Amino acid sequence: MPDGPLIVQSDKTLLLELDHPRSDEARQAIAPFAELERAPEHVHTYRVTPLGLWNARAAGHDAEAVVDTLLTFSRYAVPQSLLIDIAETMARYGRLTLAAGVTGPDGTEHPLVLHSTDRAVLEEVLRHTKIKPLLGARVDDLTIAVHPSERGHLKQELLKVGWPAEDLAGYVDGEAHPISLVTGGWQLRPYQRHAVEGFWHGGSGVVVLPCGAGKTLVGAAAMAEAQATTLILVTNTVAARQWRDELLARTSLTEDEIGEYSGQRKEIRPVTIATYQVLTTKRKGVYTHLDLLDARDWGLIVYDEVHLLPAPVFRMTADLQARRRLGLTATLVREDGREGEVFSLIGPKRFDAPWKDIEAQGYIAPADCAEVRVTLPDPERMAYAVAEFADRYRLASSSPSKLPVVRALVDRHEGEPTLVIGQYLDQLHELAEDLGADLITGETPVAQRQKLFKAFREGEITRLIVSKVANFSVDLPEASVAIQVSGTFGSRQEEAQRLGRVLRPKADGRTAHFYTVVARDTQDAEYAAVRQRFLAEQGYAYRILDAEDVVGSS
Amino acid sequence: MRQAARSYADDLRGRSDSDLADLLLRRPDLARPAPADLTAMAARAGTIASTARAVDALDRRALSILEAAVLLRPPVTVEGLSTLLGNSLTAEELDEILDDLWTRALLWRDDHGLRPVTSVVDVLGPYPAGLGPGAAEIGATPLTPQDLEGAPDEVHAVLGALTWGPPVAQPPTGDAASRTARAVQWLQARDALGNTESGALLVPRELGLLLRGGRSHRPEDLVAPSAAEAPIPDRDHVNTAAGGAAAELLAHCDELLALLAADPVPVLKGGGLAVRDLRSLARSLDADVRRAAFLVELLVAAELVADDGELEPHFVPTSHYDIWRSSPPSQQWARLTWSWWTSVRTLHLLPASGTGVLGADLTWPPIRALRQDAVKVLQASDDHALDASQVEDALRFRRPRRLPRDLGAVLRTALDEAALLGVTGMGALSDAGRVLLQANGIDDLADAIHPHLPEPVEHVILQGDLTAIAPGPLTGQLADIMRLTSDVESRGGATVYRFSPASVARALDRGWTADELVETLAASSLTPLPQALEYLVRDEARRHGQVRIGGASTYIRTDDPARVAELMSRPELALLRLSQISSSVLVSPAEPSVVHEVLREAGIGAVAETATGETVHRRRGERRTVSRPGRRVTHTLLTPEATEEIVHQLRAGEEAAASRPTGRPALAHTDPTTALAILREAAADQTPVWIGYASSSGQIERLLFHPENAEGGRVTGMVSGTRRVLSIHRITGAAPA
Repeated sequence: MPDGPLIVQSDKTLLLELDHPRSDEARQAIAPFAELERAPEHVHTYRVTPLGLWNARAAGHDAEAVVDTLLTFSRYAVPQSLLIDIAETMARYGRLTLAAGVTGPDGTEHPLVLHSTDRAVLEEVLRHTKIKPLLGARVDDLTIAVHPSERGHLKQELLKVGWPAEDLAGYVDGEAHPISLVTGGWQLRPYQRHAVEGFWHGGSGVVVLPCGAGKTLVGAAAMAEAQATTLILVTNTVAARQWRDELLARTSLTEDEIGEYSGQRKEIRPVTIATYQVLTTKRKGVYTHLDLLDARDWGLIVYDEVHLLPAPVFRMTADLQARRRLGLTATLVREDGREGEVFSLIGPKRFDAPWKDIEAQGYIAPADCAEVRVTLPDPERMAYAVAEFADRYRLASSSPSKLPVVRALVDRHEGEPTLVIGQYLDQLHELAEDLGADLITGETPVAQRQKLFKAFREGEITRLIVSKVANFSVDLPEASVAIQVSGTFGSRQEEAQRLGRVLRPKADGRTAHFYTVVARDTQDAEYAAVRQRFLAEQGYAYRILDAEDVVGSS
Repeated sequence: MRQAARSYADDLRGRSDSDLADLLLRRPDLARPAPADLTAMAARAGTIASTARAVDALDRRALSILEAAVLLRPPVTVEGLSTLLGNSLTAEELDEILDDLWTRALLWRDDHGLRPVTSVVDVLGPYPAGLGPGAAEIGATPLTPQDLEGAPDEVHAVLGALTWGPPVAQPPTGDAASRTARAVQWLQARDALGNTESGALLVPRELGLLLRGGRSHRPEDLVAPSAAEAPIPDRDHVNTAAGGAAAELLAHCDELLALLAADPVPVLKGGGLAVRDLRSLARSLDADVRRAAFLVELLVAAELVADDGELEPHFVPTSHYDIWRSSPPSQQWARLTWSWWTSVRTLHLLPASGTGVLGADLTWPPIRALRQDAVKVLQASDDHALDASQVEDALRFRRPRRLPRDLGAVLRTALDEAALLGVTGMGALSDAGRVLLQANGIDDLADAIHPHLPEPVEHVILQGDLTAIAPGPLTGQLADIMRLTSDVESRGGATVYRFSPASVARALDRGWTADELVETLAASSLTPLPQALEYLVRDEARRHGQVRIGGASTYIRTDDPARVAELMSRPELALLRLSQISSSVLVSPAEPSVVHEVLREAGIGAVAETATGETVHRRRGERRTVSRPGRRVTHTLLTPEATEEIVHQLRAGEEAAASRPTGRPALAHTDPTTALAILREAAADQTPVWIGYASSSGQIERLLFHPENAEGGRVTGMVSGTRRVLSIHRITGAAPA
C-alpha cells in the first residue's frame, strides 16, 4: 500500500500531512493546481477547483501531470471520479481561444476571433443567450468574429458557462515610455523577480504576495519590463502617494512623469496613479472619469489590492482586454466571491508564494499572534445582554474594559513602534487620550497624516492610534506591534491587511507582535474567530491569553 | 460416429447421456418441469417458445452461424458456411460452433448431415440475417454484378441503405422524379426487386448477397470485440481503489443508518421516499442525490432498512442493523454487495429529480442478469479497464437478442455502482469482484474485501483551527466520540471533523464533562491538544448549564425567607412535593388551584397571580357552558304537486319491486369469460338475462338485461326499455332469466 503524504478527499480537497518526510515535495507538486485553503500546524488542506485547474493549464501544466502528481503522493486510492473530473475540467481550457487578425474567406478583416478546436463546443457556447450577442459573423466552421470591445465581457461569460477561453490575441504595446529600475544598494528579491517573469510571460495576470513582501516593487519591475505608459489603480489617496514615493525612489521616473488622478488632483502623465474611488464616482448616473482609461494609449495597467477591486471597475476593465494587466494582492479571497471575475478579466494567477515560505526566507518578519480575551464586568455584560442586536458588536468591541489591557500591552512593548488599530472613533479618541498618543482618522488632513507617519517612521513617536484608514497600503516600515481593538465585523482580509502592517522585516530580526483584544462571550469573540480563519489557514496560529494574565504580568 | 437419425426426436434419443446433460444445462427450461421421456423433451425443445429462449442465449457469432445455417440448403456443411461467411472463420472454429449448436439442439443430424430445427427457422423470422427470400420465390430476376456496376448513383444509394437489412422497403410515394423514385424505377425495370404481400419492395437474397460482397455477415459479427486496446491498470491500484471505495461506502452506510435510526423518514402513500427527504438525506451525507438514492436502495435491498408498517409508515433500520453494527467491515461489505448482486432494483430508471426512490417503478427484473453479465465481461477482459461503451460493445456481442433499448444507461448505472461497491477499481475487476463472480452466497464473500480495506486508524490529529483529521477509517469507540463531539467536514480516505460550539454542546448534553472531553480528545490525538480547542471546550462547558430548565405546574414566591423555610418544613404540605429553587421561590408539580386550596387549609394566605404578576381574585366557581341549540327541523307543507310527486315515486317503487326477483338467492358471481359466453348466447337467442352490474357508486345493481351485441369489452342491450352500453368487466354475474 502506498504511503504518501497526501490524502485525496471525495470533496476535492487534498490533505497534506506535514510531518511526512515527503510533504515538501508533495507541496511543491500540488501548488500549481490546488489552492491552499487551510494551513494549521499538522495537516494542510488544499482545494482543487476549476479555477485552480485552469490556472495550472494557463501556466502550462497538463491534466496528465496533475493526475500523476495525485497518484504519486496519495496515501489511499484516489477516487476515479475525481481523476476523470480533473481531466475533463482541464480539457475545457483552451478548447476556445481568442486570437487576433484573421482574414475571412471573403477577404474581410477580423481583428479578433474566437476559435475552437471542437465544433461542438463552439456550437454549445453559441446557444447561450448571454454569449450569442457578443459574437459577430461566422468566419468558418471553427472560427467566429468577435468585436474587440467585447473581449473581456466574452471571456467573463465563457468562464461562467465553464468554457474558459485562452486569450492569445496579444496586447497592444501602448505608447512607449522609457522606465528602468534604479538598483543602487538594493535589488529585486528572487521571488519578486519570479513574479515579474511569471507575469510577463503570461501576458496578464495576478501576483499574490503577502503584505509587506514588496508588491510595489513587482509593479515597478513590470513597468520597467513594459517600457510603456502605465496606469496604476490604487485603493486611496494615501496609497497613491506611497506608490509615487516608491516609484520615485526605485525607478528612473521623475516627478514630472508621475501624475496623480484623485479627488483632489487630476493630472494625466505617462505614469498615472488613480484611485478606485475617483473611477467609480458617479454623477447623474454616469461615471464621469471613465475617459481616463482612454486618455492615453496605456501599455500596462496595474491594479493594486485586486481583492478590493470594486464591481464597477470590473466592468470598466472588461473593455481594456487589449492592454497588459497586472493584479497585485495579498490574497485572492474576496469577501464577495468574485474570484472568477479576477481570473477572466485581469488574468490567471501568475505567481503565488505562501506567507510562511517568505517568512522562512527572511523577507517578512515572523509574527506572534495573540488573542487577548477580556471578561466584561457585570454591568457591561448586562448592557450587552439587553442591547439591540445591531448595536451588540459595537458595544462589545468598544468596551472600556479593553483600555487597561491595551495599556498593559503598550507598556509591555515600550519603545517599540506600536500601532493601535480600531474601528470606532469614540473608542479611539479615548485610547488616544489614555495613552497620550496621536490619532489618525479619515478626517485627519493628508499633510498632517504624512507628517505623523514620517515622525513615526523616524522613531520620533512610537505610538500611533489609527482608524480603518490604516487598512490600506499605509507604509509604516518599522511598526512591530499592532494591537487591534475593533474591526469591520468579520472581515478576513482586513485582518490580513492589519497583520501585514507589522510583517515588514525588522532591522534586528525581531518578531512582530499582533494582538487582538476581544470581549469574551460576545459577538466580538465570534467575529474574531471568523477574522482569524484566513490567517490561521495561512499558518499563523493564534495564542489565546486571558486579560488578567496580560494586565497582571506587566 | 453417431448413428444418423431420421427425425429431431430420433436425434435426441440417439445422444449420449453426457450430451443430454449438456443440453439440459444449456437449455434449463427443458429440465424444469422434468419431461416424462425424450419424445416429450423433443416436443418441448421443438416449440417456438423454448427455441426462442435457446436462440436468445446465443452470442452474436453463434447466432450469425445459425442464421447462415438457415440460409444454406441442408445439409449444413462447414464448407458451405465458410463460403457464405467469407472465410472469416477457420474450419475448426466453425466445427466447434456447429457442435455447440447441435448440443443446444438447435441443429440436428439426419442421414445427410446437420440441418436446422424447423422452429429455429420460425424464430429467426422471414428474413434471417436480414436477407430476403430467393429471387425465384418472389418472381424477381437476380441482377448480375455487371448490371450493378453500370447502375446510376442513386441506385447505389438506395441499395446501400438496404444492404444490411431488413430487405424490405416501402415504395417511394409522391414525386416520381425524386432520386429514390428514379432508382426504384431503374430497379423495377430490370425486375430486380420483388414485392411483399402488402406491396412493400423486397430485395431478393441473391441481390442482398451480391451487395454484401457474397457474404451473409459482416466480419465483425463473427469476432468478439477486443479489449486489447484498453489500459491495464496496476493490480495494486485496482485493489486499493476498490478497498477505498468500499470503505467510503461503508462509512456512508453507517452514517445513513444512524441518520435513519435517529430520524426515520416517512413512506409515501404510493410507497417510496419523498424527493424532499431524499435531498435532505443527501445533504446530510454530503453526497449528491443519485448517490443517496443508491445508498438508500442498497440498505433496503440488504434488509437493513425497511418500512416499519406502522399506521404512519416510516423507513427505519431493521433489527439486522444491530448485528451489522457489531460485525466486521468485511462482512458488512459482503452483505451489501450480495444484496446488490442479486437485486432486481435499478436506478437507471430514476429521473434526475430523484422521484420514486424505493418506489415500485424501479423494480426491473432484467437488471440482475444484465448487471451480472456486465461484471462477467470485465472478468473476461483479463484485468483490462473497460469503460461503459466497451462493456456495451461486449454485451451486444454476447447477448445480441436480449438487449434493452437503453443499454448504455443501464450499463453506466451498473458499472458506477460496481465501482462504488469496490467490485471494480479504476475500471477493472477487483480481486473482491472476482470472488463475487464465483460466490454462491454471502458466506463466500465474507473475506473478499478484507485485505484491501484501508487499515483502520485509532487516533486523530487535532489542529489549532479546530479541526480533527482521522487519516484513515476510524473504528469503534473513537468513531462514536468523534461523531458526537464534532461535525464531519470532508470525507474520503481521511475524515475531517470540525469542532464548533454546537458540536461540543452536543457532547455536553450527553453528559460529558469538559475534563473528560479534553482528556479523551488529548488521549486520542497524536498531537498535543491545541489551546484553541481546549478553550472552546472549556468556554462551552462554562456556559453550558448556566441556564437551567425544569418542569413545574405552580410556583410559590414570597419575599420572606422565613416563610419559605416554614413552607418547606410543614408536614401537611408534603403532599405538594415542594422544592426550593431559590431563596424566595418554591415550585410544585401540583396545579395552582390545588396548591392554593392546600395552602389555605394549612392557614397560609396565598394570592394567585398571572404569569405577568397581576393578582387574580379568586371567586366561587360559577360555571357556564356554551349554548348548543338542537337541530331545527323544517317542515314543508303538502301541496298538491308534492303529493302527486310522492304518489309517482310510490308507483315507481312498486314497479321496481315487482321486477325485482323475490325470494331468489343473490346472483352468483361468474367470471367474465363465462358471463360473456352467457351474454353472447342470450344475444343470439334474443332472450333476457339477469346480470349483476357494479354501478359507478360501487353498488351492485341487479338488472334484467336484453343483450344485443357483445364486442370490444362492452355489451349493448336494453334495460327496462332504455338502451345501455355495459362494460363486461363491471358485470359481476350473469344468469339466464
